[in-house]
Amino acid sequence: MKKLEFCQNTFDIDPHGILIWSKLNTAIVSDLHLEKGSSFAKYGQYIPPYDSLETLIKLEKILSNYVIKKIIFLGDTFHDKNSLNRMNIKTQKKLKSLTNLYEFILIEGNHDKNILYEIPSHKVLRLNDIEFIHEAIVDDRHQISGHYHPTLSIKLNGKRVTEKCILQTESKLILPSFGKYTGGLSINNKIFKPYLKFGFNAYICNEKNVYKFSSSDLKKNVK
Amino acid sequence: MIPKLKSHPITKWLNKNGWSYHKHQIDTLKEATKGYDILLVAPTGGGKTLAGFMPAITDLIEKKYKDNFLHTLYISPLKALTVDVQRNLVQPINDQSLNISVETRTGDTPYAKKRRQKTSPPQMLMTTPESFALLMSDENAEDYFQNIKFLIIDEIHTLINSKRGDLLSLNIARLNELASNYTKIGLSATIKDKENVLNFLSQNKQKKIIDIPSLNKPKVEILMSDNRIPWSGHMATYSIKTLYTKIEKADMSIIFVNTRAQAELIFHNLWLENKSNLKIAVHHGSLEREIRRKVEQKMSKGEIDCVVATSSLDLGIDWAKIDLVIQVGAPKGVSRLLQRIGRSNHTLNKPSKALLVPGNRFEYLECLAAIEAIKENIIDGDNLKSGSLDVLAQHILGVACSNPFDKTKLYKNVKTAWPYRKLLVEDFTQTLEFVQNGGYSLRQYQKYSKIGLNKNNHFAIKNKTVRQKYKMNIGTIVESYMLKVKLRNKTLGNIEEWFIEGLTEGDTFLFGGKVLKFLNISEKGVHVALTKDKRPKIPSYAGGRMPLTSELASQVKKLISKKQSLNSYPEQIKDWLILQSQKSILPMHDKVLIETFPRKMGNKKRHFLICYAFEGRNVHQTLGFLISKRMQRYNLKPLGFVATDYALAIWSMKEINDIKSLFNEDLMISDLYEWLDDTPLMKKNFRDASIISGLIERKMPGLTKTSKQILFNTDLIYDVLKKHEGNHLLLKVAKEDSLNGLISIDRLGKLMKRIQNKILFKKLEKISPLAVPLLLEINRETINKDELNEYYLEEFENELLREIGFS
Repeated sequence: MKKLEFCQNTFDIDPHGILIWSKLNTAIVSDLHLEKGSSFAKYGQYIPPYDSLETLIKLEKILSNYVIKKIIFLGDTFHDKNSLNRMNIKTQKKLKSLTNLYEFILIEGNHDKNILYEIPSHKVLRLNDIEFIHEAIVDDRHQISGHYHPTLSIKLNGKRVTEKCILQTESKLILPSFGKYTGGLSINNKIFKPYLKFGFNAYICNEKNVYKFSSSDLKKNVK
Repeated sequence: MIPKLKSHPITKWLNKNGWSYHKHQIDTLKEATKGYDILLVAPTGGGKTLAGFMPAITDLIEKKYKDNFLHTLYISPLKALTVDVQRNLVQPINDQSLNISVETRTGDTPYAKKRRQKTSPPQMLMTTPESFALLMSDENAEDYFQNIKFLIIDEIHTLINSKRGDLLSLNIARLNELASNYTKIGLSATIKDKENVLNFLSQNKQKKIIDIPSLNKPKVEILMSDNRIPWSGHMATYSIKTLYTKIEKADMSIIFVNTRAQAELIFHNLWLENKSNLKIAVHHGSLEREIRRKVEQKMSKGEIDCVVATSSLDLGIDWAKIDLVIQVGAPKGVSRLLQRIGRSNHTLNKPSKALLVPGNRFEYLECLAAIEAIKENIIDGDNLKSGSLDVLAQHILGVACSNPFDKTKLYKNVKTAWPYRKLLVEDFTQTLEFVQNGGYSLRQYQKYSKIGLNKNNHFAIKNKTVRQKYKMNIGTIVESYMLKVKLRNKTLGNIEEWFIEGLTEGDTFLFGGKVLKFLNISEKGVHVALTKDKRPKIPSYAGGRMPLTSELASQVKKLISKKQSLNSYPEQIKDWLILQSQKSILPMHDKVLIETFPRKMGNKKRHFLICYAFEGRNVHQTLGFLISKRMQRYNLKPLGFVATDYALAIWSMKEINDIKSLFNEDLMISDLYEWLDDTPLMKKNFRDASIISGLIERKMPGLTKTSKQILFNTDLIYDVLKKHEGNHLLLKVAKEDSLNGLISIDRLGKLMKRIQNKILFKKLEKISPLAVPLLLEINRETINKDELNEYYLEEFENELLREIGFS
C-alpha cells in the first residue's frame, strides 16, 4: 500500500482515490455526487438511475478491506438538495446500512448542506492540525479537500491516458471525485495554478494501482 | 390525360437553348400524369432533375391553383444540392415568366425566412430529410402538408439503408396520412436492387421504375507510373510525378481519394511538384465549411485546375467543366467508382474519362477488377438494414410534438414505412416507453415524462419545452469527437480528438494542405502554428476507411484465379503472380486459400497463417478475432493478427496443423458478443444511439473535458446499463448497429458457410509471394512508431523479397 505524509500524519492511499487514516480509523473520500444521474430527468434526459447504488456498493466493498469506523465525506456527497427525494428505495436502503456501519462525518459542499436530516454537515472540520473542507483556500493552512475532481494525463507508449489523481502540495491535499457519473479536471487547468506555486506530487489512482509523480517528473512527460 | 408538349413552356425554353427532351423526361411526365409513383434510375447527368420536376411544373401550369399552398416538396441528401437545384430550376421558370415560387429551406436558412415560409409557403420547397422532419414535428404540420401534390426525393439511393433513410421513411409514412393524394418521384443513380428502392419510396399499388441504362461506358484506365508499384501502403505517392503530368494536360481535373490523410498527402506532394503553378485545391469533410464553399465556387467558375477530394465531393453538384477524374487508391466499390467517374463530362452522350491509381499491388488487381466489373455491368448490392429503434424513438417524440397520437394508430402507420414493415409490437412498445421516461425497470422517472396520455387517451407532450428541445436535437448524423483546429484566431476545420491525443507539443502534421505545428489544447480547440518544415513529422491520420464491397471482392478473386490473363498485366504484377503459382498456388475463385509457413519475427521463430478470403477488412478482422480465440483454446499460443481487405494473417508460437477444425463453421458467437461488448465500436454506436434517441443532448462534444460540469460521458452510462439493464433499448440498438455495420456479421456468416470443405490448404516452408504485402502490413501495425521509418521498412521489404526469390 502506497503511503503519503501530510502535516506529520501518515495516510494510506487506496487506488480508488480514497485516503485511509489508520491512526484515527477513518476513511476520507470526496465528491460522491449521489443522484447526479436522476438530476437530469426534469430536463427530459433520462440517464440510467443506477449511479448512486453503484457508487455506494463500490464504497462499501473498498472500505471492507480496512479497519475503519468513520468516513469523512469532503462535500458534494449529494449532487443537489433534492437528491434524497429522488433516491430510489434500494439505494436508500444501501445508504442506511452504511450509516449504521460507519460514523458519517459530512463536510458541506456547494450544493449539499444538511441533506441527511440526522447528520448535520460541517463547513470546516479540524482534526490533528488539519482542516477538512470542500474547496481548499489558497493560503498555508493545512487542508484536505475535494471539489475540483483533479485528473492527470500522462503519455504511456505514445498514447495519452487520463486518470483521477490525488494532488499534494505543501499545505493541501486535493482528492479526486469518487462518484460513478463524475468527470474530472486536468491539473494543468489554470484553476489549479494558485495552488501549485511550489512543487507538488500527483498520485494517479487508476483503481488498480497508485503511481506517484512529482512536478519535476511531470515536466518531462506532460505537455 | 397526357399533357401537350408542343406548347409547353419548358419545351420552348429547351428549344430556345437548342436542346430537346430526353425520352425518360417525357416518360416520367406521362406516367406521373397517369397517377403512378415513379423511381427514375439513370446515370449521373442527363437531366434527371428536370425529369423529376416536369410533372410538378406541368401540374402547376395546367391547374392554375388559386390558393397559396405547398405544392411540391423536394428532398435531397445535401444542403448544397438544394441550392444548386433551386438555381437550375429558376432558370426556365423565370425565362418563361411562369408564376412559380421556388425556395430552399435548410439549417442555413435565416430564421425570418423560415418563419415566413411557414405562414406563406412557396409552391416548391427544396429541403433535406432533417429539415423535413422538423417541419413534420410542427404543430401545424397537417395544415401545411395536406394539399401537397408532389414529393421528389433526389439521390434516393444514398438515403436508403441508413439511419437518415429510416427517418425519412417514417416521415413519408406520416405524410401519407396527412395528405391523401400526391405523387412520389424518386431519382436514383444506377443501383442493383431497384425494387427495394421503389418500395422505400412508395406503398402505392400504382408505381413504376423508369430505367435508363448508360449508353456510353466510361473509359477507365490504370495509370502506369515509371516508378514501381509498392508492395504495401495506400498512399500512392510513388505516382505523383506521372499524376502531375496528367493534371497538367487536363483542362480541369478532380482527384478522388479514400481518406482525408490521403487527400492531405497527395495535395501536399502535388504542390511540391507544382512547377507550372497550377491552381490545386483540397476538399474534405474536416475543413471548415467556408473553406469548402470557396473551393466549390472556384470550381464552378473554372478558376481551379485540379481539386483533391474525399467523398465530400462524391454527390450532386454539376461541374461540367471537369474533363478528367482520377481515383487514387483502390476504388473499394463499383457503384462508388461510377458515381465518382460521373463527375466528369456531365452529359449523357459523351463517355466519361477516368484514371485509376493503385496504392499497392493488391490494389492494382482491385482497380483491374473494377474496370472488368464496369464492362460486365456488375453493381454493388446493399446490405439491407431494418429500421433502427433509436430513429423510431426520435420520430415518436416528433409526432407527439406535432399532434397527440393514438398508440395503435401510430404503430400501424410506422409499419407502413418500408424499413419498419417488420417492426414487432413489443419493440414499438419498448421504444415508446423509452421516449416516455427512459424505459428503465425502475419506474423512477415517471413523474418527469416527456410525453403522457391526455384525456382522450392519446400521447401528448407534457409542455412546450419538450418541443423546443426536440427541435434542437433532431437528425441522425452524429459527429465524432472533433476538436477545432485554431491558427491564432482563425478556425481551419475539425480534427479527430484521438489523433490530437497522440501528439506532443512541437509535433508537425498536415491539415488543410499546410504543415502545422501542434502547440496545445484549450477550451477553444487545438492551437497550432505554421511551420516552414516541408515534411510533417506525424505522417498522416486515418479515418474514413471504406470496406471493400463483396461484389468487387469476388471480382478480384475471379481475376487472380484466371491464369490466362496474367500476360496482359504489367511486368511487376505478372512476375509476382507467376512466382506465387510456382512457390504456392494462386487463389481459386470457388475456394479459400490458406497458407501456413514458419518465419522468424524479431529473433524468434513464429508460425504464420494467411487466409485469403477476399471479404474486406472488417470481416477479416472479426474472423481474426474468432480464429485466434479458438487457437488459444487449442493451446497454439496465438500472438496477433492483421487484417487487410484481401486477407487475414495470424501468427502464433506453435505450429498450426488442423486447419479444418480451426475454421469449423460453429463460430463461437458467445465469444463474439463478449468481445463486442468492450470494443470501441460498440461504445461509439452506443453514443450515437444515445444522441439520436434523445437520451443525451447534442452539444459540441470534445470540448467538455475541461469543464467541471462535465456532460455525460456515454461510456459511463454504457457500463451502468450493461450491469443493471442488459435489455435496454439503446444497448439493443448499439449491438445491432455493430453487428450489421462494421463487423459485417452477415458476410462473416456467409463466408464461414462457404469455406466448409472448400479450403485450399498449402503448407509452405517459406513465405509465399502473395503473403509479402501482409507481412509488411504486420510490421507497420506492430512496430513502435518511433522505430518505424522508411529505411527500416525498405530493409524488411528487401529481406522478404530475397526469401521468395524475387530479385
